[in-house]
This record gives sequence, C-alpha cells and structure tokens, in this order.
Amino acid sequence: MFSFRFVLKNIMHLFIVFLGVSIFTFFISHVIPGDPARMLVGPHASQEALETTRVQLGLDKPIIVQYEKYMVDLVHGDLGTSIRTQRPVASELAKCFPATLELTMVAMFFAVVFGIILGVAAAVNRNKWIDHVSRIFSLVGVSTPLFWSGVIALIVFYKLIPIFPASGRIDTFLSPPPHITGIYIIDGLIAGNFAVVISAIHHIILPSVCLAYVQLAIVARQVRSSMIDVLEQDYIRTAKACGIPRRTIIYKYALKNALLPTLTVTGLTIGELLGGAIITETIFAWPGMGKYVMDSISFLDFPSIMGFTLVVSFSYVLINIGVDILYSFLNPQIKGVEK
Amino acid sequence: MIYSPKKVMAILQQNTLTLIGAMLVVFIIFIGFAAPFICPYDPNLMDIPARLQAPSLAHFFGTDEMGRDVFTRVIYGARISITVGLSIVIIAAGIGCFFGSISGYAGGKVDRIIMAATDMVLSFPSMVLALALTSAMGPGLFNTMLAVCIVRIPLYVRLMRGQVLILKQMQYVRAARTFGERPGKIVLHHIIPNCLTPLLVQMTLGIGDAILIASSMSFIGLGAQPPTPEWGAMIATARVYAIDQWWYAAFPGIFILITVMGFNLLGDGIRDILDPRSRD
Repeated sequence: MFSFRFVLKNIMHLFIVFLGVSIFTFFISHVIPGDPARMLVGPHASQEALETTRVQLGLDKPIIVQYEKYMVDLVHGDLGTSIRTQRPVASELAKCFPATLELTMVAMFFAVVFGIILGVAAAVNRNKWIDHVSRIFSLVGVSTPLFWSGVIALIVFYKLIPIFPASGRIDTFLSPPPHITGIYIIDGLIAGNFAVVISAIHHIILPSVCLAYVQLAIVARQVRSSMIDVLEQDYIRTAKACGIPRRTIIYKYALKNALLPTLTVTGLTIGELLGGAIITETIFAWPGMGKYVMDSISFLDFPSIMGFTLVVSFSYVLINIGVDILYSFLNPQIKGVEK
Repeated sequence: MIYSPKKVMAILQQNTLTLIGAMLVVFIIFIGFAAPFICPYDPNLMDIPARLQAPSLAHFFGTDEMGRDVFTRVIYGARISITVGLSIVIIAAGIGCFFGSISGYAGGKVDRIIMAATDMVLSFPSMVLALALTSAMGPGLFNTMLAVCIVRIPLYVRLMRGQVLILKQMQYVRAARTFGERPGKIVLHHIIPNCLTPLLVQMTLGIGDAILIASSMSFIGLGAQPPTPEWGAMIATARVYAIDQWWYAAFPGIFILITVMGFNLLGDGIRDILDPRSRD
C-alpha cells in the first residue's frame, strides 16, 4: 500500500526546506554584500541617489521587515528586477527555463542509461578488461573539468570532424516550433515538424553528452558496486543453483535490486547537472538559465543571480523529494519505517 | 592503523593505480614548488609579436593572445591550484570536524540545530551555492575559496558526526566518561584519533573536488581574475581562441585532469591501504 502519511510527511519536509532555502538566499542577498544599493547604482553614483535607492529597496528598514517583504514578493513570484535588462527576473528565467530543462533531461537520460549499462557490464565481468576500461572511463569522468571537456568536444567534433553544430538549439534557418512546452523536441513532435525535431536532436547531442559525462561516471560506479553486492547474495546463488539462465538472473533478479541505491544517486545527479548547465550552456551558446546567469555575472546583476539560485535550488529540492517518495514506493522495506 | 613504511611500499607496489596517483600528486606539487627553476619565461611576460604561436621548442605549449608562454603559465598554475585545493580542504575539514564532533557528542538540541544548518547547505547544488556566495562577497580567488569552503563543510560535519556516534558507544570511551574525563578531552584524545582514517580519505578525495569547483568558478569569472595564471581562468580566455588555437585551452585542462585524477587515485588508494576491509 502506498503510504499516504509518508507522502504527507515529505510535503511537510518540503515546506521546511523551502523556508530554509529562502532564509538562506535572503541572508546571502541582504546580509553578506556590503551594500546592495551601492551595487545597484554603481560606484560613481551620488550620495542622494544611493539614499533614494536604499529607501526604494527598503534597506533602511529593520531586517525582519526586509525579510517579510522578501517573502511576500517571493510567494507572489516576484524575484526582483534585473539590473542588466531592467525586466522582472522571474519572467526572464521562465523564458529560458525550458531550454535548461531540455538540456538537463537529455543529459540525465544519457547519464542514467549508459551509466547503468556500463555499471552492469563492469560488475558482471568483474576484473576483466571491460571492468578496467569502465573504471578508467569513470575515473577520467570524475576528474575532468566540465568546462574543459566542452571546449575539447568543440575542437574535435566541430573543427576537426565537423559532424555537430557549435551553438544554439536549432539551425538558424529554421523557425522554432510553436511554444507549448518550450522543449523544442517535444514541441516539434506535437507540431509534426520533423525537420525541427531532427535539428533539435542534432544540436543537443554534443552539449548534453558533455554535461552527462561526469554524472555518467558516478552512476556507473554506483551501479557497479551495488550490482556486485547484490550478485553475492544468497538468493542469487540459489537462482544459479536452480539452473536459471544467467541473463535472467542478471536482468530480472539482480538488476532490480541493484538499481534502488542508484535512484538516490540519480536525484543528487540532477543538482550537479543544473550547476553544470551554467558552464555547458555558456560554451555551447545554449539559451538557457545557465547562460542567462553567466551573462548576469559579468554585470554583477545580483537579483538575477539570486533568482537563478532560488529557482534551481527549489527545483533540486522538489526533485529529490520526488525521488524519496518514488524510492519508498519501489522499496517495500522502508515503507512505514521512520526516516 | 599504522603500517611500517616497508609495508606501505609493499601495498603500494601491489596497487599500481595508487602508485600512479601518488606519483601524479608528487609531480604536480614538485612542479609547483620548482616553477621558477623549470620555467624559461616569466608567467606574465608579454610578447605581442609572438602571440598565439603553436607549440614549438621555444614554447612547449605555444603562446597565448598576449604572447605569454603557456607552458610557464600552466606550471605556475600548479602552485595556485594546489594551494587553493589544500587550503579549502584543511579549513573545511577543520570547521566540519569541530561542529561534527560537537553535534555527535552533545546530541539533543545542539545536534538538531547543527544538522539543520548542514541540511540547509546541502539542499543547494554545490556549484550554484558557491556561485551565489562568491557573487555576494564579490569576485576574487580568496572569496571563491571561502565560498567553496562553506559548501564543503557539511561533508565533514556529517562524516565526523557519524564517526562520533559510533565511537561514543565504545567501551573505552564509556570508561573514560566513567572516570570523569571532560567531554572536550574525550573527543580530542579518544575519539578524533580514531576517526582519522575516513577523514584522511575524504580529505584526499576532497582536494581534487575542491580544485575542480574552484577552477570552475574561475572559468565562470568569479574566481581568480586575469592575468593570474589560474587554470580555469586561462581556459575561460582560451575558449575564444580554442577553435583555431587548440593548445591554449588544451594544456591547462590536461593539468587540471591529471591533478584531480592524482588526488582521486591517491584517496581511493589510501582507503584501501588503511582499511583492509574495502580491499577487493
């Protein structure tokens, strides 16, 4: 039975974490910087302009009042106004959110699918060449800086062997599909415009594979070690003794149990993918939230940076609570047990 | 668990990957220290006529857009990255151990407060939090180090707390308590020395990680500022030229890769050596 109380408890937990995250971002944005008003008006503004901005921002009021205003704005979906574009941060982020979602989801797909394949292959052929290759592949993966592998991928697959485009989401001569989800591959399919779909897939492969590589390595490591654990258990030995074919044992009996811990790793992976998107989107000129925040950084556009932090962290928390609920759903052992 | 140097060497020889890791780390530290003696040029010496030259005997790794020698800058970069990695990990581990052991030993309300703060930090993706903190404090290498440090502290708090919770129940710790030793002394003398193995492993693995995040921050433009020969910052500039001048971006990255890989291999190896249970 799916425990309703468990879900309820998770939702309570969600609220507490959201509150915590918002207090934290409030603290970072209102307490740490020497003077947000000074950052807004620039270093050469007059004293009067500075004072006016300070009153406008409510910085002359007590910190509790400032927090109240911050929370009220937040609940109303107001993340402030961008210094760089002079437009509301929330709508700017909403505009580039689908691009980031598309990129991270495809990267996630690569990381999980190939991570599992590699991990299983390594565990089943333990200490054989395939295991060693997978180990080295993973080691290089967790040690490679994302910003470097992106640049190298461009040099190799754009310059030397020109099979992938260097930037953008679709070819420039194509017009984007009508906005439904904002995810070009899905929107293109809905509109029946296959030229767009193919172009979108063609453009997404290189950035998403680069983004996925590190996480692929982590998933592969996790799958390998939990698969090895499972393969040594009694019920697998019994299955072997019963003469059940090896393939069935691996895929039907062992893999299912080995994938449970992988689920948790996958949830954490999303955070790294969202963080990594800042770098990947910049290198591949992918018009998502990461590129937006990168452009904001060069202007020290503080409201945009904090808005990005908040949106990404909220999505991250949300996804991980989803993973927790899914975990309890898939693993009967922890149901009803105090977390 | 302490082994004689001879035994450690024997284990190292059995474990080729650990040996490679140790050699990579020693190599990077060595070139960092010996930079002024190895390098043929000054890292900030500009030579505009010789800009963007391909690798040659005069410039092993070519030159950058100002005509500076990429080889020299990469070697000097080792100094920065090693310093950054080590200081982040040492400070984060120090603070983390302090709060972790308090949390584990004291329990109750103190434990709950410390763990709540830890969970709060962990509910942000690490890159994103580091970015938010650095941009709040202002760009620069020092602030980046501070930010990455804050992001990394929870790791050590959790590790230490877990260890303390186990060790607290041990007979000898209970005995010490019965004899009326003060909590601070028990933690310092009886608990911390027995947590060193996992701590050392975590710290070694953490150095590579810290170097990766710090150089990413420099790449983003929040960390080391040009003309500092920091690897991430170098690649950030090199990105513009990468398509036609591959060497400029390639070499700093290779050095990040081997440094981080060295620490990862060494960390895994130390775990295998100090904890025989995890050996295959």
